[in-house]
Amino acid sequence: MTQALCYQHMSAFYGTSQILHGIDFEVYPGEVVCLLGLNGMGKTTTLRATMGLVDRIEGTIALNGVPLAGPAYRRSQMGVTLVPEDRKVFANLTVEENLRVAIRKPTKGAGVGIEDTIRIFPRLGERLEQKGGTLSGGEQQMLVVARAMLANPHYMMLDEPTEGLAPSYIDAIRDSIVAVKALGVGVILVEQSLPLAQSVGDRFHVIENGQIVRSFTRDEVVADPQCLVDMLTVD
Amino acid sequence: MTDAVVLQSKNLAGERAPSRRPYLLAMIILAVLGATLPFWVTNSPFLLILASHAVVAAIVALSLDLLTGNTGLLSFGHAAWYGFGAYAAGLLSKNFSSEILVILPLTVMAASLTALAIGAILVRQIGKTFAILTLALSQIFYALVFVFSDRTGGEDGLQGVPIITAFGQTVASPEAWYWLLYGVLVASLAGALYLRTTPLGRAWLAIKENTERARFIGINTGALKLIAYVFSAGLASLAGALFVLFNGAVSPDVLHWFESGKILMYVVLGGVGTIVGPIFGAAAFTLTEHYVSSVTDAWLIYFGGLFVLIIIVAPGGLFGIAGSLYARLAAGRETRS
Repeated sequence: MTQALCYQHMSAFYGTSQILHGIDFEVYPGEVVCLLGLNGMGKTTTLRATMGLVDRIEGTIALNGVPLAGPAYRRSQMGVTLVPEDRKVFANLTVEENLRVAIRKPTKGAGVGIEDTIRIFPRLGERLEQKGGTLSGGEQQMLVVARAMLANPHYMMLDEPTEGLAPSYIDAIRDSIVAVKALGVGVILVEQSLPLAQSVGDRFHVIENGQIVRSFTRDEVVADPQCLVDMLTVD
Repeated sequence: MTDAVVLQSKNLAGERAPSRRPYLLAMIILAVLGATLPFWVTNSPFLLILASHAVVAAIVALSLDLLTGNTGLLSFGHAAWYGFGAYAAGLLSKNFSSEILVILPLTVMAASLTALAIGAILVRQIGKTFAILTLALSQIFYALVFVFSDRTGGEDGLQGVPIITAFGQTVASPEAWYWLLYGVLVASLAGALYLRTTPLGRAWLAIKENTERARFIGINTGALKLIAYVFSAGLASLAGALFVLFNGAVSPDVLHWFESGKILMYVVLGGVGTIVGPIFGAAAFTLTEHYVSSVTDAWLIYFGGLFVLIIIVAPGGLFGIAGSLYARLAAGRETRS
């Protein structure tokens, strides 16, 4: 049994329209895989398919050898969690309640506790009593990332976590990715901001029209930072 | 879901306590006033009866807020479970036993099991569909009373419920009844407030806020909604059972959609999701209904107007008004000092 989140020739459909055309890649524990590409190419659909939120898939998505199936909450309990792009916090719950509601004990070890998330996001610690809906956009993003961490997933998917955020918040999000990676959590990062992706990514897949068209390792990107830029520039 | 976290002691005790103290004090004063009510109204026995009805209304309002306030599921047919409890307890007392400690558990169990079966279908629906189905359910229960009218008394209602016993002692005096009802209300309220602080209570609120996001963090939203539905139905049936045993009779009106509408009004009037508010909503509604309806037949018009006003001006209900008044007072005091 491979310890990995494996996409094997996975195609995804909304109704009759096929969005993904046979995606193949793996995410290993403690690794950050970046999905890159222009808008509308299927990055978000890949994440949604993982949570069972598309109408139908072909091929398989397997978590440590077990095909992911069932409703979203089951998949979350199996160990994958998604932080969607629209960063919805539970607006009428306090920050502390938002965090507490997400806590799930990991299968092994102590896992992430509220104190750990506050160490990474001290801002949240200052606002524990405040309603989630009154936080700024950046703080809300911190809160949803912290919430996802507290579920102690094996694999965490982040959909454009830094979109529209100020640089200081982007640094905090980067720190959180580094922290979960250090815990052995595999991360799939869909990101438009190349600097962030380059600074944390271990492997990079460029998606175009529902297929992976190029893949790079960290070494390749470090050796030639321009290679990703070339792939992602509209010309 | 254990959450041994050090933060709690610091923040709950240190920062929140000062602002909550007046609230708790007010609650304790009100609770004591409620408990000692029989001593205040010795000259007008009718007031005690009216207060007892208000307490029953408060329990059923609380039961609806367990569902609507916690999970956001809106029921237009909550009288179904109130009436279920009333008829089940009435029939049990006439045909089986007049011991309240037998009747109440059996009634609540029967209602909970029925609610479990029906709720399993209902909670899959959301929003309007759920609301309409609950309305349909209450109408089915209403119709059943007439289908089995040889048992239920049909239009005439279920009459001749015997005087009940508790531990073999008859419970007949209005004071004893009031304290029994009041005790159930306080216990239910304590239970409902406690649930709020548990992982289950927090998960309910997460579902109410955003069901999809709750699923993403691994909450089995369907199962937890069903639990809320069953708790809510169980408590409503308890209120119905207490009502029929106290009142000695029950008419099919308790299953009518108008009754469901009233229960919903208690909750909206008091403040949806505040747990405490609906109790005051129910009490205020019951008392006002009595006095206004003795003055004018058109009392519903005034209530309709009040309802519209509450929705527009104070969507948080009485509880919300009290809360914002207090916040304003506290702010005023702070700026002066």
